[in-house]
This record gives sequence, structure tokens and C-alpha cells, in this order.
Amino acid sequence: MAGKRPSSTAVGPSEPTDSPTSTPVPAPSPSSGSTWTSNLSRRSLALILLLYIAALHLTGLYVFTKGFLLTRLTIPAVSPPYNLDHPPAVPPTHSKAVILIIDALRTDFISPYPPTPPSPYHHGVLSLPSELTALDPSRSLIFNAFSDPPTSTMQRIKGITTGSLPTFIDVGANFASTAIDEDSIISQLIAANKTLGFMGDDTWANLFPTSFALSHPYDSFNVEDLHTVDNGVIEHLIPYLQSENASRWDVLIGHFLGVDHVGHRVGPERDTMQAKLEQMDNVLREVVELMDEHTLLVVMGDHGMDSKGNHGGDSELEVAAGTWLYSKGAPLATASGSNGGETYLFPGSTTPIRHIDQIDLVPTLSLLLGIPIPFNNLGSVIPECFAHDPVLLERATRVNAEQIKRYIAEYGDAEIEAALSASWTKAERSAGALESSSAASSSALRQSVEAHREFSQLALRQLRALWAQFSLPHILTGLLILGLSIPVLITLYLGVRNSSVKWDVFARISIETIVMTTVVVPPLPAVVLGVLFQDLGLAAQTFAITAAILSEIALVLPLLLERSLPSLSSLYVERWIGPAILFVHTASFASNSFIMWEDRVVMFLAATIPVVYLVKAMAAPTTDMRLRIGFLCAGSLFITRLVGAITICREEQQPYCRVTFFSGSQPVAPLWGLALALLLAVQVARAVAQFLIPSKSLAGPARSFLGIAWRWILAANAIYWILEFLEAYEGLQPARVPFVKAAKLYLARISYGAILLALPYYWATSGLCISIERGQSQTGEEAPVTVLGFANAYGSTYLLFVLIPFALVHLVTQPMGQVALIGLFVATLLHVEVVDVQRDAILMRRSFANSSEPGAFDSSSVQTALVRPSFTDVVPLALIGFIGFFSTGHQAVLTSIQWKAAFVGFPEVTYPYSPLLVILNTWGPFLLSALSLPLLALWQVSPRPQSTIPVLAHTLQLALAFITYHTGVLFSAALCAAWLRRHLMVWKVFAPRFMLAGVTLLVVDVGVMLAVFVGLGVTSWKVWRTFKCESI
Amino acid sequence: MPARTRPKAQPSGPKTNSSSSVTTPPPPPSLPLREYFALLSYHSALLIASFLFLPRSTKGTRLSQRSSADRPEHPFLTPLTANPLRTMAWHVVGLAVCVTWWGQHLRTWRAGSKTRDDSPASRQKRRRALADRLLETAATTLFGTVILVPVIFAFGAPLDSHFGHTVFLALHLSLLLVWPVIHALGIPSAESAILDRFRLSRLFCQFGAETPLERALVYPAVGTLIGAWIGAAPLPLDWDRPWQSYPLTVTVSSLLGYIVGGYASWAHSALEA
Repeated sequence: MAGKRPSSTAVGPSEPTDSPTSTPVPAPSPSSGSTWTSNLSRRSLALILLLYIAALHLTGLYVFTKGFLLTRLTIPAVSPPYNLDHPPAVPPTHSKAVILIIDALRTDFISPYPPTPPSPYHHGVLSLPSELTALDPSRSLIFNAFSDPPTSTMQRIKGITTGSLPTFIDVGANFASTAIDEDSIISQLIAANKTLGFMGDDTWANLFPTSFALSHPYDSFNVEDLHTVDNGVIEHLIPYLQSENASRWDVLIGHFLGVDHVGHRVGPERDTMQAKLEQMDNVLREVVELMDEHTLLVVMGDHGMDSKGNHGGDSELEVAAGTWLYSKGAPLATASGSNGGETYLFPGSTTPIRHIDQIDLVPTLSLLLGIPIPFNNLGSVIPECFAHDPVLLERATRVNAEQIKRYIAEYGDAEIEAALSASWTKAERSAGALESSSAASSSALRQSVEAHREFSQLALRQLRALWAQFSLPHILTGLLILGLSIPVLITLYLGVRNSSVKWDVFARISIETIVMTTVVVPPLPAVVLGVLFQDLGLAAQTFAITAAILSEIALVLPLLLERSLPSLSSLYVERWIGPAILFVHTASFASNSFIMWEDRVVMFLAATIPVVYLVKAMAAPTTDMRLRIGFLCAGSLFITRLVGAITICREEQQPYCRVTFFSGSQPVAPLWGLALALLLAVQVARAVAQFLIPSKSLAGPARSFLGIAWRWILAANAIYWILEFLEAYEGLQPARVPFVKAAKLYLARISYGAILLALPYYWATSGLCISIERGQSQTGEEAPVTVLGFANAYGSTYLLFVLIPFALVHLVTQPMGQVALIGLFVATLLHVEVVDVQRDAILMRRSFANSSEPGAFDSSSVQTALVRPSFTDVVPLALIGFIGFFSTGHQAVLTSIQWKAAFVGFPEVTYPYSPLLVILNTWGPFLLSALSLPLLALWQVSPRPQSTIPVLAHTLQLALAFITYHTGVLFSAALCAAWLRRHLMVWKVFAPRFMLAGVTLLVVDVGVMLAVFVGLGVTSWKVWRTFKCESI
Repeated sequence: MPARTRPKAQPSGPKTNSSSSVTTPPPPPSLPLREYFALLSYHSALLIASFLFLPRSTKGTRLSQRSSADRPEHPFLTPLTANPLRTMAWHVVGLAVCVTWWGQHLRTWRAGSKTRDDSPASRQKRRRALADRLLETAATTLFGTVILVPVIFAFGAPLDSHFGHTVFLALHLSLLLVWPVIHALGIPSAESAILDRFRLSRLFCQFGAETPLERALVYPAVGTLIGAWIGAAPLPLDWDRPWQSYPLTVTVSSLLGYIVGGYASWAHSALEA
């Protein structure tokens, strides 16, 4: 069924198949097929095709995300603090602690058994731990700690403090800030009234913004700087350890970054590393010297480093972090030190050392310090630390297991609970046996310890599998669905383009193909699997996946069968530059650098097309055209470059980037920024009017819509943000703040009302942007009637439609972003004009070529003929969407989400409006670019009274091209994120870029549907009402 | 300026006065392909040398690697990357000499071989014509630089810093794009305006080169543009190498594009011949 696409229904008798013009033809008779699709209008056909594409995207995204984006629910519950009624399970051994984190301290750096041959630069340099262990194994314990990947500092700090496993997305209540809102060792220490001091890597200060009474954070970003952080830590740490300051703190946390930075800069095999480790050794000696008997010293690497000194992944050297516990007073282990338990042989070493999970430190430290184990902890107590008393060990292990059991119950994953139930029953039984026997027999104790420990470790394994393992089948299936949707889009694009005015026949065949492939096969496996596993969700999933893949294959097959490459001569630069730019843009996602600098990449790509047009402009047939193309392209280059200069820099872009997006707080919006936003808001209506005046389309509703309603709504939007600025302005009297707040709130609500109710009503009920002029006939006879604005009746009316969503996005965007939006809107219109002039040039050249008499051409054919749009037409528009995203203060990172937008018109978070506003704020530029799309097909297109005009075909063709662009971007982002899923940048760069692309694609799908169904639908209806011209 | 005419004898070609082209289209001035290839190789070598060796001329300043001291670059590169602005300044001087020499060859090829009239009067006349041509070529190249600066800005060059770098890059591109063409063809004068302008627009707006000489003009220009476009790609990469500094990559890449374009034009013409 899908095998036959109607070959070109060429319009003119001698028109070749890929001639880009179509001349008016009478309305085609309804398709002769008697199938159900013949009753559908063309608009419905277009909508169904777009819906199908959106469904493919949704299915593909869902499946891919399920396998790729690891999510974990954060649970706000906390373990209750100890008090008189609820005493500590195990008596604390230490009242104070010094926790020193030496970033990237690999196990072999402190191990007494380094690999052979040892490296002179990092083995045996930091020798204090092994010296002290040799001296007194009961007070000094060295471990190899397994640090869960991703081995990046922030994830590890989260692990070390909460005892949980890191995932990319911790779905919790507080999505906006990086602060840890889960129960952690830090929050438990504070609940126990301990005073915390911190110095070093400022990641801690971001994760625990309010927890540290004594805080000395240092910038962690500058990898070039090997010493500032370390010297700062030493400078503050040593004084605190002096006995006169001992009462000022209970727990000190120091985080050294030097070793990590040396690793990143030069790797471990350099004398720089030796000097760094010597410095660390000296610090530790001084700390050991100064610390008192009640203090527990913990020295640990948050992760290791690979042979080149980098980290982030899951290689053996990266996950091997050295850990050292030391106590001057109470012993930490029995006199024999650590024996028994899991061991680990470092690569190259001959003697194994004790192996723990890094998160095991969390319950151990909690119990040693006498605080409850954090609620989310998944670590198991280190047995050595309690081994001196079997009763204590049993109690510690049991408390630990019970805490994990509480967590599992609270997390509420039925599968995990089922998998653990047997182990828990066993642990409970052994505890029961212990309780029943009056005297604690050592064997019963040992059994209980083993059973509880087994449970804890099984729980960890289960949850690790749930949170930390990509599901490759899901990833591949998702990629397949998304990847196949590109050839599907190309097939549809070519089909609509080549069948021209009879595209509805092609669309009907395609839709029937889709329905047939969806209805016939996919329900079978879905029903079988659903019945087999008694799972409705599984059945639905199977159905969606099989239906998507089968229908895609069915649609794409014809493309493979009748493959014909376009001839080389037709590949002139205007034609291939668009696809080439799409290719470059997608290819750029393979490198983290290009993703980090994507704002500059899209600006570069966006400049390319106008420059090519500029060069080619000199070949346009008339001087007027040359000048117009020249000025329009120069104007859009100028605007996009200036708008592109507005940016909030990603942290990776430092120090090569200066923040120019002034968002209310930091850096404070300068007055000129606010003034500019207001000025442009008031004046942009004039600029838009300039585009309507040449075709005399500033008529009908346009003048009041544009010049009064829209203009003052934009002004109100700008004033809203000025009030927002005023609210935080220091010079404002505090008494006035409530007034400003109220004014701001109501201004936003009035603006909402006008944008969502008044403007759409006015637009839908008013007529076309035309006016009728009756010529003054001197003789008093029948006066000729001129319709002004006729030439752009479609474009001008649709333009008014775009102004409505523009005003909405404008309202929720901060002042600098408003400036950017206005600039880019003008750039969009400039591009639309350029495309129009170029089409005129094509028509004129063709009619020169066709006309027999040189110099004369049939002007009427130029006026009525339409040039088919090309793929390249939509590329600048898509790029404008990207530039808009970046210059409205966004980047492909989660932290750039502007939560402020949630409160425009709402004093507090209100569902579902607040998330919608944030989405509008973030994806508004993409939405606007999708909604502006039909302008390319409609601009300067005059209706053909009593006839048909293929504007719907052209819009659909452009829409498919536009969606192809964004699908290409998404597919590439997804592919690169999946391919590089073990890359150290995946969670910082690739995964956020994929998420951005995913949501963008869905927003674009919705935008295009709105544009075709609502915008173009109403516009066509209005034209039909006035001129009886049908849009096909 | 070493703008010397070639003293060697020209291979015999069609002897046509180019000013008579209004009535009869001139037979295309034949490009001696073998000589073109040899001189092109010489020209290319000179261009590369002007970039690689001229910037080492500065003595007395202590040159040190600009960044990432832990990843030593090849010592050969250090004088080039230590100060891109100075590198560009030296390179542009060398480039100007090279393209003048090259442009003069193109001009002679275009004029075709004429019987040399060694009378002092005609020598004087030729000298004046050459001086005029050089002057207008230089003026057009400067004008091209002025046009190219905003274009480079549009592609994302920093607006608030590195202004000198951008100007030198524009000058470099203008020397590659504008100089040889104007030197060979001249600015369309008032008399021949329409035809010459049409030819320029056919060559450079529609890339419709037809004769070997036209290809020798158009292909290097196209190569320069494509090379410059590609040359921007290494700029954002986080390899942290000194040679990545703006505008060195764009300069080198456009230079290579120019050279590749030159050989492509030779290859095309040779295949056709």
C-alpha cells in the first residue's frame, strides 16, 4: 500500500518534476478512493501527519529516557534524633571528628602495599597512614573505598554525606537549587547540636549552604591553580586544631583540591604530584600532632584518578579511593587491626588491603560519633570498628539493617521489596533467636550479624542496579524509533513537495499505511505479553514500540526502493547549504566543547546563510532586488550578532565569557537594560508596521491590533519587570514594597487577560488586513475598486496571530531576554522578506527564460505563480530559535532554568500554571520560531479569488522540514549522550543537552500543530470568507 | 614592492587586443598550464613560508609559551603562537608581497603575450598602467578589509576585545580574496562597466568560471572562504593548545583552502585540456 506514491502531479504542461513553481489549478476533485480517509479535510490530514510524527517522538523519547536517564526519588524523611527516650544504639567512641578529603586520593597513594614497581612520584610519598598503621594497627585503619561512579566530586560528596548512590536526576521537592535536602550526616550532626566547620572546595558550601557555623569556601573551578585551595585549607585548619580553639567546633571538614588539580593538569607521573603529596603528608603530620584523644581523624579521597590523572568514569583506578581512619584515644579496632572482611588487590600490588564501599563510612561515622544513621543511607557499618565487642557489633549491624529496611519501605519500589523480603525474614529470624536465648551466645550473635549484613549489602546491590545501570535495550530501541523518524520525515517532506497541489492523495495513502501497520500486527504481541504478564502498562508499551517501528519502516521503504539522487547541476549552493548546516549542527554534538559553546556555534551557523545570500545577491535580476537582499541580510546579520552577545555563561565557558544577561539579582540589571527593554517594547510595533506598509497591509484590524493593543501590552510586560527590579531596589522605602508587589501582580494579570482573551478574540473575529479604496471618478461613473493589502492578505493576517504568543513569551521573559526576543522577531521578519525577494528573483529569471521576446515577460504570471519553499528556507528560522534560547539567558544546563518566571502573575507556586510559565520562559523562543513558520509560506502571497492556492501544502512542507531539523538535533544529542554514557562529561554536558533537545522537539511539534491548525486554519478561513479562495 | 613583470618569453598564444572585446568576444587568454602549475607550487610554498618563518623575525623579545605550560608545544610553534597579533602582522606583510607577485602573473597571463614594444614611451606607459593597477588593487583590498571586519564580527568574533586580531584576519582574507582578482582584472571601469561587472558577478556570485584563467581566480577564492569557515571549528575545542588562539586557525585554514583551490583550478583545467 505504501509502495506507491503518486508521482508528481505536475501543474504546468511542460513543468519538469522538480520545478519549484506551481501555478493555480482548479480545485482537485475529491480523491476517488472510497476509504474513510477521503472524508478528511486537508487540514485534518496535515494535523494527523503532524500528530503521527509527534507520537513517534513521544514514544522514542519515552523509551530512550527510560533506559538512559537514571532517576532516583529523594525522600524527605529523616531519622529521629537520639534523646533520653531513644538512646544511641551503640555508645559513641569519639565526640569530635576531623574529616579531611583529599580530592582524587587514590588507594595506592596511601597504601602500605603499592604496586611494583612503585612510582617515585606518588607511591610512598604520603606515608604517614602506613607508618601509623604499622605502629598501632588498632588505632589506624587503611581501606580501599569503592566510590560509585560517576566519580565526580559533587556526586561523591553527596554519597559521603547521605550514604546514598548518585544518579543524574534526584527527583525531589527542591529541583531548583543544588542544596542537598535529604537526610545526611551533616543534618544529623546539626540536629545533635554539633558545631560544624568547613574549609576548602566550595562545592560543600553549595550543597550545604546553611549548615556550617565556620565556613571558608574556595573556588573549585580553576584547575590551573594548584595551591590556593590547599593553602587556604591549611591556613584555617591548623589554628582550629590548637587547643585554645578546640571548643569552637565539634566536626571539621577540610577538602583539599591540589592533588586532583595536579592530576588533571599533568597527571600523577610528575614531580608536581610528588611535591603535592609531600605537602599533604606534612599537613597530616601536623594534624595528627595537634589533635586530641577525643577526636576521630578521617582522611579520604572522594574518588581516584586514572593513569592520566582524570576521573569521572567507572574505571578501576577511578573508583579506588584511599581511606584512612585514625584515632589517638579509643581504639578503632581490635589489636590485630583489620582482619577478615572483603579485600582488594590494587592493580600491580601483591598484597591485598581491606575493601569497603565508600558509603560504608556514613553509618560507621554516625555510630562512632553518636548520631543516628541518615535515613537514606545504604552503606553497611565497617565491622572492624565495633569488633571489640560482639554485642555492640551485632547491635550496630542490626540498627544499620533496620534503617535500610525503613528506607526501602519508604521508597516503595515493589520489585525491590519483593527481592529483599526473604533476606529480611532471615535477618529477623536470627534476631529473634538471639533475643529468645537469654545469654547471648557468640554463634547466635555471629549469625545475626551475618544475616543483617547480608540484607544490607543485598539492598545496596539491588538499588545500585535500579539506579546506576543503563538499560541498553531501551536506549537502542529509543534510538531506533527516533532515528527512523528522520527518514520518515524526509519521505513525507519529499512526498508533499513532489505531489504539489495533490499532496492530499499522498497524505491519505501515508495515513492509511500508518493505520494499517498500526492496527494489524502490533496488537498481537501487545495482547500476548499483556495477558502473559498481567500487565496493562507492558502491553501498551509493546504496542507503542512495535507500532512505531513498523509504521516507520512501512513509510520509509518506498524511499529506499525508488532512490534517485538529485542531479549535481541542481545542487546549487542555496539548496545544499541548509542541509549542510543541519549536518554540521548535529555533528557538533559529538564534542563536549561544541556543546558547551553551542551559543557561539549557532551564531556562526546562522551567519553563514545570510552571508551566502549576500554574495549571491549581486546576481539578482534587478538592482532593487540586489539592494533589498543586501540590506535585509546585513540587517539580520547585525541583529543576530548583537542579540547573540547577550548570554549567561556556562561555568565551563569561563574565563572566556562575560555575563551580559542581567537577571534581576546578580549581576543586577543596569538601568539602561531596563530602559532599553521598555523602549523596544514600545517601539517594536513601528518596526513590525514597516514590514506591512510596503504591501499596504497596515489596514483593517492591523493598525489598532499592532499599534494600540499589542504595543501597550508589550509596554506593560516591560513595566512588570521594571517593578520587579524596583521591588529589590535598595533605595525603595520598605513601606512601599507591598504596593509595588501588588502593582506588579495585577499588571501581569491584566497582561495575561489581554493576551489570552482580548487579542485572540479580536484577531479571530476581525477581518483581513485589507482596506477598500474607491477611486474618485470624475465623471461619476462606476468607480474602480482597489483592494489595498490584497497582495499580502495571507501574510499580514497570520502575522497578527504570531504577535499573540509573542506577547505571552515576552511577558515571562526577563528584561534582557525581552530585548533579545524583540530583536530576533525583527530578524525573523527580515528573513521572511529575504526569502520572498529571492522567490521573486527566481520567478523573474524563469519568466525571462521562458518568454520568447527578450526583455519582456509576462508580469501576471509572476504575480500569481508561487515558488515552492525549500529546506534551506527554514534553517535560519530554526537557528533563530536556538539563538533566542541562549540569548534569553538559558544554557543547556539545569541551573540556568529561570524559576522567577513561575511567579509572573502568581504570588506563590500555583499548579499547573507555574511549571507552564517556566516552560514558556525556557522554550518560548523555540515555540515562537515554530509559530512563525507559516509566514515563510504565506508572506506576500495574494489570494486567488474563486480559486485555490497551495499555501497549506507549502506550510506543511516547511513544517516537516522544520521538524526534521529539530529531530536531527535530538537524534544526534541522544546518540552522542548514549554513546558517550561513560564519558566524564556525560552528566554535565551530554545528558542535559539531550534533555533540552527532547523537550524542544516536543515543544516544536506542538508549536507547528498550533501554527498549522489554528493560525493557518483561521487565516485561511478568513481569506475564504472574503475572497472565496481555498487554501489547499 | 617586487612587482616585477616576468622577463621570460611568453608562450605564443592568440594575439588579441583585449580592448576589442566589445564587438567580438575575445578568445580566452590561454593559461599556460605547466607554467601555472610550477608557479602555483612556488607561490604556495612562499605563502606557507610567509606564515611559518616571517613571524620568527622578531629578535630580542623573550618568547615563551602562552598557556598550559604543562603541555609543551613543539618549540617550532612557540614564536608563532606566543603573540598572534605579531604573527599576523608579519604574515600579512609577507602575504602582500606574495599576492602582488602572483597577481602580476595573473595579469600577464590575462593580457596574453603581446609583441614587446621596448620603446621608452611604451615602457613608460606600461609602468604607469601598472602603478595605477597596483594602486586601485590596494585600495580595493583595503575596502574589502573594511567590509570583511563586520562579516567576521557577524560570525561571532568578540565585539569588545581582540579588535586588532579581527582586523588582521580581515586584511589577510582580503589579500587572498580581493587582491589577485582585482590585480588581474582591474576594477570595472566606466566604459566597460556592464560587461566587466557582469563577468565579476558571474564569477563570484554564481561561481560560473569558464576559462582556465577564470578558474585560477575563482577557485582559490572559494577555497579561501570554505577554508576560513572550517578554520573556526578548532577555536572552541578544549584541547588547550596555544595554536588554537584566534585568529591563527582561521588564517592557516583559509591559506590552505586558497592553495587547494589553486590546485583544484589547475586540475580542472588540465583535465579539460
